[in-house]
Amino acid sequence: MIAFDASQFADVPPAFMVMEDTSQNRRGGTIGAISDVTKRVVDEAVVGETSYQLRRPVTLTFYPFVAGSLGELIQEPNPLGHDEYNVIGRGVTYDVALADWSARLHTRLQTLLAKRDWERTAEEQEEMAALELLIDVPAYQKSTPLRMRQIGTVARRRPMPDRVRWEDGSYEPVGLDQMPAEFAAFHAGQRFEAIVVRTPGTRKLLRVVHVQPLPRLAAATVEEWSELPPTTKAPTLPWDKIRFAKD
Amino acid sequence: MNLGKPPVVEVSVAFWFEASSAAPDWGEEQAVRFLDQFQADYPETEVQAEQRVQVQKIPRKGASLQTTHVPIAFRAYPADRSRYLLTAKDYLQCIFLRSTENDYPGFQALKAESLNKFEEYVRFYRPTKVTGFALTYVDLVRIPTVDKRATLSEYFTICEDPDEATFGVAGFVRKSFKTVPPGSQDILSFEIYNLVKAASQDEGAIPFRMEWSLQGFKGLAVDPSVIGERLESAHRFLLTCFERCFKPKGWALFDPQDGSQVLK
Repeated sequence: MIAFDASQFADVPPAFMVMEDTSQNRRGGTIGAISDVTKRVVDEAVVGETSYQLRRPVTLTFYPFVAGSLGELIQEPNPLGHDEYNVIGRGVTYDVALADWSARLHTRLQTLLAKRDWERTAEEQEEMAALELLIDVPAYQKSTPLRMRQIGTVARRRPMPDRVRWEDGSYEPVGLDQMPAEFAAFHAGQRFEAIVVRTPGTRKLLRVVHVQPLPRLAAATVEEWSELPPTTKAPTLPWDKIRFAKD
Repeated sequence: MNLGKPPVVEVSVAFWFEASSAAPDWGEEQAVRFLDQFQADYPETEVQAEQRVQVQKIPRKGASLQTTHVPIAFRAYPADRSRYLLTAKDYLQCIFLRSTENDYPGFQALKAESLNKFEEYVRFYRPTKVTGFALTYVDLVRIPTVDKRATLSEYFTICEDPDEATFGVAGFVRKSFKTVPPGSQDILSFEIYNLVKAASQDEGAIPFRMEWSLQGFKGLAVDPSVIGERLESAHRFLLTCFERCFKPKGWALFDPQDGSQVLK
């Protein structure tokens, strides 16, 4: 039974009469969020150097000691749906559970990103769509530096190595402040393998995190060249008969 | 009431005051000095600030935005964050979180702590009166599922299941109300809603968050004995409400140790 006579609430401060989705009004009028010590609004998930911007902030509530000695960090229901793909974090404190929540999201997203669209099952497609509602995946891809293995040669050392020729024939200026210390000892012509960090859009060199000197390539002799089979001896096959090796 | 699996996760007591007209404006310096008195028990402090942006017009140059942060509340806590002491303008709150697997320090411990801090607040700020108090409980209740579904009416007296044939299957349930309890001038606020867990982490139960709060605004005095009695009666009332919102099957979820039955 609901009484429409509001006179019984006449002396109640207005802030306490508001029915909100959250408990903020009940808890303390204007002080709101800080009164709710188990809730935090989170706008990114961070794991190590990887950061995922959320499309909109989510409220995560920590419930201590609900899974044995561990508490659970549970996301408030999402009005956009796809709640079945929510994750919960577990830990003894809010911060530990938040790290667990972030790590679970990170693992699920990276597992799905490791597959091409057509490689994902229907369920994985649905899960990816749900994760994309939560995480700004294009922003993550735009803001996350690319790490790649490249092979190059020191093209110039005058008196410090400052120019590299990569295996694809391109030249690139490098600063010693972008390179590991041992690169400064490389002489012109030194071949090396590197782990290179580049910006995702422009492929601009950010830094090189590892260099490994490689032996110089020996020039092929005339005999070695002449031992290679000519293309005229290559078998002819119709396109639809070509078989590719599976992974 | 002795429960083997108590659902409580958080309990708090809040007080609202009316500041004396002679008192200096509430601010950072006073709030920090107030909390510093309890540094032994609450060594860490956090502040919540409100960001205010003002447009400042500059002649012949247009305008610039000036951002300032104004502190609106401070809270102190021990390293394990098992309890909080919170103060804002004309406001004080003591919060206890469940700090062991099967128990929380209990209402008497919270009452003693909140009355102690109430007295300290009165001594420090010299308010002219207490304008309100609130006792709030937050519980997490797990309703078992059969074939990933739970029938709420089997567990709760206050939640009905919508007729599936007419309305479909409910994926999210929220119920909240405010009442004036019988023979009282207080306000009871209640809210229950289900939280959502990932299917992969589902342990055969749907978690429900329940929040109970009894707020009193009348018949108060700057006297710990008066406030203590009101807290006691609020506590008894909220326990009664809690018990009465469960049916026997729901009550059994909490593993009552002393044979206590659902109140009839």
